[in-house]
Amino acid sequence: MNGIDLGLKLCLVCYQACPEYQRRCQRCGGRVRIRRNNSIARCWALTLAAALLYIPANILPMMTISWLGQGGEPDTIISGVVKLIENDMAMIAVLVFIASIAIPLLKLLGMAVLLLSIQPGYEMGLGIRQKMRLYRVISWIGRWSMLDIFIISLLAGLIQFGQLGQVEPGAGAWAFAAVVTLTMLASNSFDPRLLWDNQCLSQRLEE
Amino acid sequence: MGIVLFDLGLVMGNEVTGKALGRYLQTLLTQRRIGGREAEKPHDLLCPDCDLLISIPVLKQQQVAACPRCFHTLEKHAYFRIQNLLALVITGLLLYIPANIYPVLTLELAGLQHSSTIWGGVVALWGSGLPIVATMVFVFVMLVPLLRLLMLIPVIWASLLRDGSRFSRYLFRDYLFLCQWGMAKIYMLGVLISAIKLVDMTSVEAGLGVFCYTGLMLVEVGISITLNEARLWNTLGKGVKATEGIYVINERH
Repeated sequence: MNGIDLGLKLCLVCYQACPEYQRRCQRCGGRVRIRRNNSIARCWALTLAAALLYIPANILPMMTISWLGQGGEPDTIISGVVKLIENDMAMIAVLVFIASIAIPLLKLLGMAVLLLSIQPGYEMGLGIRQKMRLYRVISWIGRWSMLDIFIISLLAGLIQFGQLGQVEPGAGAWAFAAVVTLTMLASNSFDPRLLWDNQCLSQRLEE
Repeated sequence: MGIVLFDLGLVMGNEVTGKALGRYLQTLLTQRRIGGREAEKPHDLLCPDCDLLISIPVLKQQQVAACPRCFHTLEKHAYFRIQNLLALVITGLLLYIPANIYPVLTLELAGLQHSSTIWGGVVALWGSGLPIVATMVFVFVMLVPLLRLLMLIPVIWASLLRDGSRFSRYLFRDYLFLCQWGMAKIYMLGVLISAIKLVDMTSVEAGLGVFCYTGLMLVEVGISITLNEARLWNTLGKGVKATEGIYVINERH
């Protein structure tokens, strides 16, 4: 039995079930809706915006490190990872690669797959449990891409020796931070209950 | 505790008042221990991830209730004492101040020393023409952890008094919203990576700030383990009546 069939809507903050006619949760005062408001449209908008910003995030320089007269050319995300490998810091390179390239890509593609698979005819052979797992991974992992931004902030605050060494953050940081925040907002506005509604519906149609 | 309260009474100039105050606070602090378990009843709820109606029995030690359809963890048995939470919040607030005053890392280069606090990083970002990124770092790393700790205090107070005011309930809602925007753990990983990066180039020294911030992060982890949301909502929402839809839920008589 689903809550929607019982005329109940769940407050997603305090998990109080509220009757359908109620606009606000009587316990925590938050807005309650049967399903998240315009979930799919909002989610698409945020994901697409993030995907567009992903391009400048990768093209524009993230930061420029000059150190004892060497360096000085701006680094993008990818060239930063390559430099780390060249300097024999493979482990860190892997970490940075995962946090700033793999995770944002996974989030963007994963969100697109989830949103497409909600539409009938685009199931893509994914079971509902797999979709659920994908959604949970995306929403849990989202915050960890902020890592690169925090590293830039630390280095920029720390390395200020003028001629000897200087770190100058670039415009790519702005785009990248926006990508991370937008994908976080996107996974927040996605309502996983829609997946189950779809399944219940298709089951009923088969019967 | 008793002695401290006793002294408090002496300061106030009246021993009797002090004792009465002590007794009052002691009953406040101990009544959770007696009344905590009886509040649990078998109840129904809806799964937030798939909207399934589930009845949950009274959980035994170490049991976890999960949704049978989507495996979402609904409730867990936890030995939840509001005092532990209060202790963690106070520890966190005490650690927060040095974590932001003292430098995170100190660099040495050709006799020059330069150290930076978390705030220093924010200022550097702002100064190089990235005010939005600077604001984000400030909010995620400095503001949200502080707000989360401060917001828990009225919530804990309301829970100790065992009547949740509307204010405390709204505050707890905002607290839960802020949870996912606090990024202390990620910042710590960032500090670690930059330290390893820099160690090859010059001498790096960890400042006091980094240790305090680690402590703050551990306190946050401790809070998330200790805090039993469902139980706290139950305590705060005592006065709120049970929902009547077509089907009555939330309370079983």
